[in-house]
Order: sequence, then C-alpha cells, then structure tokens
Amino acid sequence: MRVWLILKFTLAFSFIAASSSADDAKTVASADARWASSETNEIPEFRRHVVPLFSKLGCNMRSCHGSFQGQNGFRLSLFGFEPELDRQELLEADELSEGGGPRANLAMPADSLVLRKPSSEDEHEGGQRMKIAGWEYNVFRAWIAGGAKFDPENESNLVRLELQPAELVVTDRNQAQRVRAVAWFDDGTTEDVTALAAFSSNDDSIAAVEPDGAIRIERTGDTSVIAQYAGGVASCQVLVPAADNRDVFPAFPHHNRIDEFVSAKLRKLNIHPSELGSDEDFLRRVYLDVIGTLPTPDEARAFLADRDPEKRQTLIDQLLDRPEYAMYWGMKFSDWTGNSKYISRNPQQWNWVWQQWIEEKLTRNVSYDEFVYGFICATSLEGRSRKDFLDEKRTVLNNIAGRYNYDDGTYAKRRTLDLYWINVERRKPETLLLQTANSFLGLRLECAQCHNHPFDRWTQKDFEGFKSFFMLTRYCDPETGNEENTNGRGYGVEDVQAGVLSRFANTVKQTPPKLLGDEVVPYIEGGEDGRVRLWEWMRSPDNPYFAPAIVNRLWDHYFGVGIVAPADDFNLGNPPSNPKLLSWLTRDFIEHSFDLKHVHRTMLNSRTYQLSWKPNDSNRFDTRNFSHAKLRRMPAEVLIDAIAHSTGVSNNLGRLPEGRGQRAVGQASPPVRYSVRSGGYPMQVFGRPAREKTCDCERSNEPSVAQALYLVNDEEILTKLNDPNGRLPQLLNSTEDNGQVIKELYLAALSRFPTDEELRIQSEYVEQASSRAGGMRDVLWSLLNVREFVFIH
Amino acid sequence: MHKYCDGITRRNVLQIGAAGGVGLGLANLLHLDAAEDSKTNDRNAILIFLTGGQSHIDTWDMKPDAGETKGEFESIDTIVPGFRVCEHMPYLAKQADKYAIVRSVSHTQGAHSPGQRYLQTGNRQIPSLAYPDYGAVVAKEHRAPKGVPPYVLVPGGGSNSATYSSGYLGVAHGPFAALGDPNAKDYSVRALATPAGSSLAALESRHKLLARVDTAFSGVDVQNAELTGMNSSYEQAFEILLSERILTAFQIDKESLSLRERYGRNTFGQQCLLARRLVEAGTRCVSIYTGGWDTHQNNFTELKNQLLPPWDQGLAALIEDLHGRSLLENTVVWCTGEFGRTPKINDMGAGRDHWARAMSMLFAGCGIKSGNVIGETDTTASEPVSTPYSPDDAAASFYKAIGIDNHKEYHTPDGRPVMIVKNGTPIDELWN
Repeated sequence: MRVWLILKFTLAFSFIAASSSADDAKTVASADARWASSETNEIPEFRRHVVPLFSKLGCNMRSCHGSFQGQNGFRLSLFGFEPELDRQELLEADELSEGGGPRANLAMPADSLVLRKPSSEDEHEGGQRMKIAGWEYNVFRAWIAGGAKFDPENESNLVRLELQPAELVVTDRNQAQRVRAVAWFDDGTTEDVTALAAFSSNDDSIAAVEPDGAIRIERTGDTSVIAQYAGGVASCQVLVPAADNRDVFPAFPHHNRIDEFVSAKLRKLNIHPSELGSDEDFLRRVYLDVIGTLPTPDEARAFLADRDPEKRQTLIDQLLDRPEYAMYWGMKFSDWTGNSKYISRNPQQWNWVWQQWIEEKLTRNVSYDEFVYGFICATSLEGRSRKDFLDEKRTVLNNIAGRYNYDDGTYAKRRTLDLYWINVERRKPETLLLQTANSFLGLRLECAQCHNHPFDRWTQKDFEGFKSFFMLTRYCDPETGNEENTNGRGYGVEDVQAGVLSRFANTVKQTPPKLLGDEVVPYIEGGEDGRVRLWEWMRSPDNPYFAPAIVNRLWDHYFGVGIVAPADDFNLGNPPSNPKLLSWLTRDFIEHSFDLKHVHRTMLNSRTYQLSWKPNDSNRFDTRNFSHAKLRRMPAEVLIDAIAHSTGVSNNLGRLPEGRGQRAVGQASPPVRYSVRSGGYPMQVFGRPAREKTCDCERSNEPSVAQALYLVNDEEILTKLNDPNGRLPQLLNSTEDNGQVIKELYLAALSRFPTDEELRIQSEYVEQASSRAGGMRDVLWSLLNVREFVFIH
Repeated sequence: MHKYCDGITRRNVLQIGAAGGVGLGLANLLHLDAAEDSKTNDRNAILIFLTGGQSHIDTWDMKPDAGETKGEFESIDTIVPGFRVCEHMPYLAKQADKYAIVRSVSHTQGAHSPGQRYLQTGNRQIPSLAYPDYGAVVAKEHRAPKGVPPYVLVPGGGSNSATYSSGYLGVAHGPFAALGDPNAKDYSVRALATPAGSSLAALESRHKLLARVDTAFSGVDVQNAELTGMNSSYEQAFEILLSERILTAFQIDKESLSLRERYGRNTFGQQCLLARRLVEAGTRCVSIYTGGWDTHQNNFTELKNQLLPPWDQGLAALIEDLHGRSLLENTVVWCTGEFGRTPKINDMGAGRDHWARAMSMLFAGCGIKSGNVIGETDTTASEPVSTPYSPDDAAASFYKAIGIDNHKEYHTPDGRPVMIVKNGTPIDELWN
C-alpha cells in the first residue's frame, strides 16, 4: 500500500505532489543539523538515516560495495534496497582488513571500520568520503554507539518524498538556486533530507545539480532534477527561460486545449512558437502521419484549391476513416505488441493473422480498453463450446494452409488474440510480463527482474508478484482440452484456458498475483480468471500508466518526441516535459471512453500539430516543448511506399492478402533476416524493427550512407524509374507539355506545385537532355532525392 | 543475430538528439570540421568485437591448476616460450610473436549494453552524453581519401548485433555499415555497383541537377540531427559512387582462393580478409562484430565447436597477412569483448556467466611490443593480482597506438567540453 500511496502522490493525474501546507506533520530537524556535534545522544534510524547515507556517499553503487561481488570483501545491497542484509554485513568482521575488526564495533564505536575507512583514517581504496567528526561520521558513530539496531517493524517508513519547489523557474541566472528534498514518514514526522538524498539532473547541459541541492544553470531550456532517498524518487522541473528574447509573444489562437497547455509552457520559457504551417506542409504531413501514404496528385490538387476554412478538419476526419488508417496503425500496434517471428513456428502466416486481428478492431474503432482486453484476457474458447471453437480453428487453419494463403477474417473477428499467450517465446511468464508492461503500461521492468529498479519504485518482489498473473493459463490439446506441454506451436495446436492452474500451480500459490504497487489478487482454484482483475486494474481511471502510455505514444508519433521521452519509459526519474498536457490528454481520453480516434483527432486538429517546421530565433534549440514541427525521416515502410507511389510502380512483396495492394505499410512479417528479396533490403536499411526487443527504440530513423546510396543508386530505384508502366511513361504519353509533366511529378512526390524557379530549372534540364524521357527520368529521380522527400515536414 | 541472456534493450545506440539532448546543432559542428586544418597520419585500425563477452579463462588466461573452475580445456605451447593458450587456438599459438595480450583488464559493468558501450568507447556510459565509437573518433582525426568511407562497420550478416554510435560527434562521423555476409557466393555491397545501362557521367549529371533543386530546406537553420545526418550521408554517398576505390575493395572474390581459404571460408574469416582490403583502400578504421560469446550454457561445446575455430583461424590469418604485407607497422589490431566470464561454472548447463572483474584482450601492430603477455590474474582468473587496467586504459593505449591523444578535448554540439577518453592512461608495458 505504501508504494501505491507514493505513486498516487507523485505520478497520479495531478503529476504534482500534493501541497505540503495541508499537512500537520511534525517537522524534525535535518540530519546534518542533528548530528553536527559529536556530543549528541540522539540515535539515528537505520533505514531513515544510515542507509541513505551509504547512497549519498556513493558506497552502495554498483561500482563500489553495491556490486554483486562487493568490494574488498564488503558488500552492500545495491542502492540500499535490503537494509537488513546491510546491517548484518556491517556487524560482521572484516576478514580482509588488517586486524580483522568488525565494520561496526559496538564496544568501541570509533574503531569501527565503517568510520575509519571512509574517513581515510585507514587506507580506503574508494578514497575519503567523509571527514572525521563531520555530521556523516557522527551519524554512523551514533548509530553504532546506540547498538547498531534495525527494527523494521518500529522504525518509520517513508510515505512520500518531495522536491521543493516542484517547479523552479529561473528568471535571474545570477541568483543562487537550490532545491530541498523533504520526506514524510508514517510516524507522522517530516524531515528535510536534502543532506541525505542523492541528486541528479536529466540534462546537466541545461541545469546541473550539486550534492547539496544547489542548481547550476548552464543554458536556456528545461529539464528535471531528480532526488533519490530511501527508495523514493522525486523530481523538480527546472525551467530556464530565454533571457534575450524581448519580442511580444506572437498571436497563437488556440484550436483546442492542447494549444493552451503548450503555449503556457512556452510562455514560461520565453520561447515563441513558429507560425502555422502552410496547406502544402499540412497536407503532406497529415497523410503520412495518419495513413502512412502520400496524397495522389488529384487529392493534393483538390485540397490545395479548396477554399473552405474547415478543410483541414474535414481532411483529418476523412483520413481517419480510410482503410489505410487501420493498416498503418495495425503496423504500429504490431510493433508495440511484439508481432515477431517468435509468435509461432510458422510466423509468415500467423504474423498476418495477428495484424488482421488488430486491423479489425481499429476499423471498428473499438474502445482501447476493450482492445487491450483482447490481449490480457485472451482464451481460445472464449466461453464457447469446444465444437464451436474447433469449427473456427479448422476454418482458419484451412485458410492459411500454404505459403501465400491468408485468413479471410475469421480469426480477426474473435474478441481475443490468444496468439499473444500461445506464442513460442512469450509463454515464458517473465517474457509475457515484460511485453505487457511495455506494450500497455509504458514501463520497462527489466531492471526489476534482477534487482530493484533504480529510478522507480519497482522491487524484485513487485516483479515476482506481477509475474504470477502470467502463470494463470494452461495450454491444452484443442481436441480434448487436456493440458499438454507442447512448447507452443501456434493457435489451434494448443488452446489457452484461463483460471486453471497448471505447471505453475505451486509458484502461484506461494506468490499470489499482485498488481504493480497495488493489492494482491487472491488466487482461488477454479475461481474467476485473475487476469480479468489485472485488466480491470489497468483500465481503472486511477491507473497512472495505462491511459497515459498510449496517449503518449500517439503524441510521440505525431510530434516526433513524447511528452514522456522515450515514449515507453515511464518512471519516476523520467517525468513528463509538460505534465499538465499529458494529464489533460489522459483525462480527455478516459472521458471519451477510451476512444482512440478521438485522441488522434484532438492532436491533429491542434494548432501545435499544424505549426510550421521552420524554427524562429527563439525556438531553434527547443526539442521538447513542441514550439515547431520536428522534421522526421519517414519510417522505412512509409518511405518504400512513397517511392512506389511517386514512380507509380508497385513494390514486389510477394502475394499479399486481398485489398492491400503492394503496400509495405501494414506488412505483417518483419524481415526474419537481412534479405535482398521481397523488399527486405530497404526495410532493413531504413530501420524497420524485428520486434524482438520490448522497446520502442528498436525502430531506428537514423540516417546512414547506405540509405543515401539506396536512394541515389540502388537497382530497385532505377528499375522503378525505368518501368514502362510507371507514372512517368504514362504522363509522357498523355501530354507534350513538359511543364505539365513536371507539375504532376511534383504533386505526386512532394504534394505541391513546383516554384517558378524549380519549374524553370527542371524544364531546361529536360530540354538539354539527350532524350525527353531520359531527362524526365532524372527529374523524377531528383524528386526522390531532395531532402524534402524523405522527411515528414 | 545473437540474443543475449537478458533479452533486453540492445538497441543500436543511435537515437542521437532524441534521447540524450545531444546532437543539436550538428551543422555548426560540421562547419567547424571543415575549417579545421586536417593533420593526419598514416595509421589505421582494425577492431574486432566479440559480442557477448569471451571467456578469458578458456582462451588467453588458462588456469590449469584452478581445480573445479579450470574448465574442460587444456593449454598448449605457443611459439613464445612460457606463453600458453587454449588448445583450440592452434593458429593464434603459431602467430604469438606478432601480438600482445593483456590479462589484467578489470571493470564493473557486468551487463551487456553498458559493458559494450564502455568497451566500444573507452568511457562509462552516463545519461546525458553519448560517447562516440573509436571508429568515429578515428574517422574524425584521420582523413580518408575522397570517396572512401573512413569508418566501415562489417557486422557480417546483420546489423542488429552491433551496437554502434558516433555519439556527440554526430552521424557525419558514423560508420558505413557494409551489410551482408562477405562469405556469401555473390557478395556485393548494395547500391555500390553501377547498374547496367548507367554510367558515371549520367550520375554526375543527376548530381548537378539535384544540387540546384534541393533547396526547400536551404537557408533555414534547422537544428535537426536527422536532417544534418542525411546531408552528410548524401555527400559521402556521392563521393563513394564517383570514385572506384572502395568498390574494388569490396570485390573480395578478387583474392586468390588459397588466401581466402587461409582466412577460413566462413563469415568471420572473410570479415577479416575484407577488413584488410578496406584498410588497403584507405579506410581508417574497420570494426568487425562477431557474436555468440554469451555462453551461459554449453560454454565448452560452443567454444570448441562453434566459436573458437573460425575466430582462431581468421584472426591469426589476418595478423599474419598484415605482417607479411608490412601493413602491421601502421595498422593496430585490437580484439576484445565487453567482459570476461565467471571462473565458476554454473549449474544451468556448463556455462559461464558475465564477469567484468577480469578479462583479456589482444593488441597488435603500430609498434606494440609483440610476443608480450601483460598482467596476471589470481589462481582462478577472478581478479588481477598485478596492476589492474581499466577499459579506459585500454582505450588510451589504442589511441596512443593510432596516434591520437586520448586527452584531446572536443566540444559537443551544445558547447560542452569533453575529452576523448578522460580517465585512461596508456598501458606502458605494451611498448616497453
């Protein structure tokens, strides 16, 4: 419960810690004051004072005594997560030291190695960490003199940690700035723990922090300063406004609430937003972002000519209703949920089934919580009779038999995706846990698998308890329903049944499922499916991760950087750049019954989304406040389709399910290996993820020479340019007017008309070329190679 | 592609700008670069990274008397008296007078990703700054002939097992990744070959046209690492395409069959041979990645059957070949993984786990004293008993060998001063 309280206070939807004035806690003096004198009789608490000091002085870091092997025979638990072990270690004799005295000498406290070594009275490889008779020394000494006790039941527990102020706006850079760490304990006391807390800055090129909480300002911008104390993590947002920007904040008519929160933050930083982007920029950006494809020349022409002031809004609605929306976002969700080669021994077919299942849900725009139910609570039978299930199974297997056969949507109509559980690799509970935490909660729990999470509340115990949710299924022979252990060969070979314990029975009885930072869900044999409780907990409006995680991912997609960045790394040490914006978006999403399209629409209609990519002098260096549109290289699949679209020559991806053309976007199978066949090469070179890691970072948009070489000189590109059935030969046949042809090519590739200058240069080039067709081919080649082409702008 | 035990974020640490707030203002950096007077020398590097962490106790640092932890292998003599290596390294044993081994490297980064970045940059990771690969630094300091990428990555098969980044130096100094398996029958590096029916003149003509129409982003100071990276990628691409030099280097089948056999007809052997060809063509740093060393299970059978034979043969052939061509005089070869492995053999199936407190590495060339074994570990190869050297020291040694001052200071794009390798001191015994 304690953990959950801290979470609610620091992360819940206010994202700002509750005001301290409301408290009537008794304030006790800070440790550096209480133990300033060596004469004091006060005995410090072990967990509250002594262990944090080990962290503050750097003793229990991985590079020192916190390493798994310890250091010179002395081992402390990493970051002090296991106080009792630390105490035992302190009471032991140090065999490696001369004389082998105890580290904490109860009879003669001043002779304790834990005093002599870090104060450099004795030789200490780690150097001097504290002064003799300094307050830190006095804390250790007083604790030892008091009997070196640790009484976990009666010592106070941390209930809340705060950095004060929670937000620091630095208007005068010459004035000294500092933060205080304040802790609340369950004994009703509160204490300034600045001296005991470990500080760090998320970007010390903007603001660095000293061990005593002093802030050193480096340049304009904003970042967070983090404090860690006794397992608690708190942050303070430090904003350093531009000092030299005296212009008046430009007119910024709000399209919706998003703009309100964005401009509020920009005003604080004295950063000015860019102007509203042009129709041409908006058109291309919104097509590529929403449906992953370019507008046709006719669509572009019509939009640009349209005089309706509401035309942007209308276009957004139209795009969200197109089938390509489901394909593109089906691909994104396939990325996020790990639709990889590991899902079956026959991944080619089953990757498609997975993708189609997602697309069916997105097409119907089922609410997001219902969508996620399909993953979390999946069963094979879905409450039907075995016969009905077997009928469905036979149909699906029959449909996908053979390399190029696809399901007709039978599986896609299912409510749940049992493939998520059957999956060869994932049926390991810890793999399923990590995937689920990352996919639906935006958490990276890998750390907690081996030790407590350093920047968050998650302990190894939390991990183990949460893991039990992923042990509540058994895998059965579909014909008989008898449990077997066939190592997962895909849907139909096994069926997933819920709420029935199997090989994990004993583990789950010992460690019942426990919601992250929340209550235990008792396991009752033959009772309700415990996973349903997990799902209910996720979709509860109070859950600090479920809704923010998806909203933040959508934001990351549209703006090139998440409000929490990286988008799938929510932790207390990584606070959002604009907490109010994220919390409003989250609330709005929940109030609209988890309607995904509503969130898309809200983001796309905001002025913030529609800003120009051209920076101004005040916002050029801004990367996290959405002051201008970020140039983003197209994702691999989008780029491959854009090339096919511009040249009018389709890709060659093999036989695909009906109705999809040869689009790379929405391709279900990630490249199993680097392959030159079937479009595999550009997928690889432009950074398509294999979906094998539970991390959004697996997709890469990093440019490379190989990408430029591909666009300039790869045979695949040159073949498309030369294809007699392509866009260019048809245009050349349809008109003698070179200007007309060039305009069409610009519309097709860049979604705009050429400028007069461009038209002149390109026309002259064609006229001077040895053949009209050859010249025009180079014109089209140039349009695939201008930087404007590969960037969403 | 190799997966590691922890199954987590082995991302190509490439999100410059997006992740750490670095990578801003790359344009300025490039301008600075261009203005810099490029003094350079003739030394090159071939780096071989044993992804996953090679077992030191089963290769370079055998402990015949270690009892339970000794393992299944016996040691054999090398041609250097008193220096013994694993019985499954007969080729390297024969070349032992041409390289040096350091047995006393020790650090504390026992997880793959931080360990790799540490050993690939000489700097421990910190959150706010991404350090560049050695190859990126070499690419910046040692100019390559026009049309030759100064830093080439030979990941052999796929790029996913390679973690590489040019860090604060920006993508302009990033590697050219030569994807594909150089042992494959029709090996060619995509998009380098001039397609049939095309010509250099046609390419030049297009290039000129592009320069005139690629203007939409010109004249606007956009601070965007992806855009700047794309600009420099294009520049390099055209330089490469308009010269013949590098194309020839990739034509590995121009080598005699007997030489190809000598390196071993497998991916790693041909990666080594390709590295030599690239250095001859003017590439200043070639990084080879070869994975599979994360032997938590079946350590001995994996080493004996899969890992050691091609590595032994390929690396030995490379050193011998470089020596024979007098290339070893100005080419430093450095072979290391991210850490050693536990002396204790685990219960999970005769495996060894991560162990950073002791590891061994190989250095050769550029005046490094050969036939030299530096440092000593305790009876179980758990910890150095001689002066321990850090990865920073190893990195400083590498930079000394290649003629770069490891304390040279760069400025990150946002103006922060940072040394190439701040904490390292070259390991004297490599030269004395």
